Amino acid sequence: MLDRLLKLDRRWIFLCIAVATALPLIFPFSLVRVEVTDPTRGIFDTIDTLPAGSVILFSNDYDPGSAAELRPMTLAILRHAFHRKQRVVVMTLWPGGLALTQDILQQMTVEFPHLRKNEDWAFLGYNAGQQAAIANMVRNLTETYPKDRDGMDTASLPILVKADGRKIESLKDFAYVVSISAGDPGLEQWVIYGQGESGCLLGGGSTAVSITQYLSYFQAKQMNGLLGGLRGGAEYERLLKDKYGTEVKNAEGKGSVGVQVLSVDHFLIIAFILFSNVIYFASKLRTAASTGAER
Amino acid sequence: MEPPPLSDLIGVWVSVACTLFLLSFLYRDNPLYKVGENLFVGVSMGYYAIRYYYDTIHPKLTMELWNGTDRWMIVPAIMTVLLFMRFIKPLAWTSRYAYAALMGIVSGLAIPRFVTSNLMTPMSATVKPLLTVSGDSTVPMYPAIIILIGVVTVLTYFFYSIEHKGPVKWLATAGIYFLMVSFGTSFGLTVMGRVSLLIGRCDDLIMYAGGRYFYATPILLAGTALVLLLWDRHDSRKQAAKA
Amino acid sequence: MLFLKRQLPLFLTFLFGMTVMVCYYVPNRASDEVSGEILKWLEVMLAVALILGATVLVVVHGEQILKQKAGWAYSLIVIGSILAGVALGLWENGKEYTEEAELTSFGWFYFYLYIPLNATMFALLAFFIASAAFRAFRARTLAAFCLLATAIIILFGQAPLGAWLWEKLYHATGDRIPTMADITGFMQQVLVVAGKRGILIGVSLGVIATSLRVIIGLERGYLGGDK
Repeated sequence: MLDRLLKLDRRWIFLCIAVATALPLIFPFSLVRVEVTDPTRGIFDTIDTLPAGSVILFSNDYDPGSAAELRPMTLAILRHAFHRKQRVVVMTLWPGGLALTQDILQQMTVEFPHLRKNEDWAFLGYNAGQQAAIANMVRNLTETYPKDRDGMDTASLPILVKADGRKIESLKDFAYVVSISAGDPGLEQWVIYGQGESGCLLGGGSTAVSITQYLSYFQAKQMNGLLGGLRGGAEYERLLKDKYGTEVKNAEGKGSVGVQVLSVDHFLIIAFILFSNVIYFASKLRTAASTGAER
Repeated sequence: MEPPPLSDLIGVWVSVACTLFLLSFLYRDNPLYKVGENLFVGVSMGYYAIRYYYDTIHPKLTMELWNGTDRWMIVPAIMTVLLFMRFIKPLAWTSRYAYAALMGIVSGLAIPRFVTSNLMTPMSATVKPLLTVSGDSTVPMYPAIIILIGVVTVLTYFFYSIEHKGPVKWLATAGIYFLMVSFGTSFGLTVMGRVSLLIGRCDDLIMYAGGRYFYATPILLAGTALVLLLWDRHDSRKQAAKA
Repeated sequence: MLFLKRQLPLFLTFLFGMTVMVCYYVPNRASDEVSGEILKWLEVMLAVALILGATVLVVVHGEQILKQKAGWAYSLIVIGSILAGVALGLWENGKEYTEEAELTSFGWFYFYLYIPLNATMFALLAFFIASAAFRAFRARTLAAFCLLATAIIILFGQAPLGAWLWEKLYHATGDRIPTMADITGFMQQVLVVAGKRGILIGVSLGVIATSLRVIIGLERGYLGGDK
């Protein structure tokens, strides 16, 4: 009987996961508030303290494969920056991220109707150069992106003039650089090819899978903030909600909803692990006992 | 609620069908999954090819050469031609020049930057908190000691030039435990990440299950299940006949 | 011929690699311009290399179809969808949206085909990781127990419900146990950093050594065979 349980058809496990994910989405609940961690607070505090009009470079380095995890934090950070009247230059190093980023920016212009294109935000588009694009931006931004997404000369964009009248020419001129990344090219390349050489202030978010890889950079202060997966998005949404309440539209988004569903799935998987180990050891004990009895 | 425009409605049905085709793999490998899988490869490649061309090759190579703004772009233009020479057998060896240039630039780019960002800075961040008697160090002393022990023991574990016995073995064993904690954390976070992606797909399927989209999800779910059932029966008969 | 086939490519690697490195270590206006130009070349060559990948895919699947090998009908789907994507992209000038922010046919291709296929492919892994947790995650040794216990703590602590339950326990014990934030924080920001940094330093040493070998011509695998 125990051995049969250990060899359970995996489709039963699939069914459990499907039900545990779908049911809380059909009947949403919000029992518990998510606790905010230090790496998340790092990015929130930076954006919260930057003066209005500061120019942030935002690199949206992911495609639809990771959008469910990373879109909530992208939206939360952009909402925060635009609410604080900062200006955001957006780009992507992932080909599949281009239209996704355009979609996000369209959502932002609906939520913040006062935003002026090329003055409060600009979209530089996609660059296939990967690490070469970052390394080139360290020396010259307009050579890396001679035109924006709409074909306008990047050098002529009003957003690239700082409040004090100086021009933004390279990575180090941005008040803050944020990369939301799902892998390579992403945060690691921004640290190695961008922050290391230019010394720019860097923060970012990543999929939960690769977050452990970036914790070392955070501890070494190569990054001043780090958001991890859907939970990172939920933490940022909570900070936004706590500080600005209803001032920021949709402050509580998909991150806050999704993280409650995560609870159910996590508990189910913990139960799987514990259950299979109990059966495994019970089966081992029984085998040992029967071998002893035979002797 | 108003129904969406026809093109969006068709799009939603196609999107739900694609999702269900791929999810059908959970039952077992089947032709619907294979259709979805191959469609995924083709659609991705088709989309990427357009992005590479319009966002990098066109503005930086074609236009620069056409307008004569950067005559040095003739170098990557030649390399581009050489890269494609691999399809012409007698001249395939000329593509080596393009690979050689690529490898040289990528390697030259990596070395100094890896030394600074991935070697010197992490090593300094490991040792510096221990040397900071007072000052702005926000890291308390005991975590810094644990981090140092962890880094040394993990590096010892990966250092095969000396035999792992005696004190070296002890250090390497401690390194294994640090690695296990790292991998355990990675596993926990990987579960979180993958489930988050599933939540995203389920969210879309639930959204498209309503009347606004003419019940795309339940209808296509039933259709997919029916096709799977029929194919399963057909396949079992085929297997039985073979046996 | 050996010079053209072997020595000249190796010299090119050395020349480009050293130039880029020297430009980094000797910063001045001239080196900045040289490195900018070379980086631009790299950007273009990487994009072309990726297109080359797509071309190879078409060639491989084209052969499958021509020779009618097993599963050639699926190859037809691959080639058909690549061509459809390229045709729509060229037709719409690479734009997913019109000036009025409406979807173009290429945008439709992206939003209703690429997004669901890409997202579902990765979402599938949730099921397999759950199955792996049940079938393969056993505390057979002390090291395996360590891995398993860490995973459970992280899964418990990352779920808000777990953190909430722990908080109840924390108050019930009169605040004598550490909070869940303290536990997961210590694990992630101390223990994991220690382990991952060891790996990071090791991997970086490997990358630097391999890159050096490439530049000085000891590593030649990327050139293929001798012919």
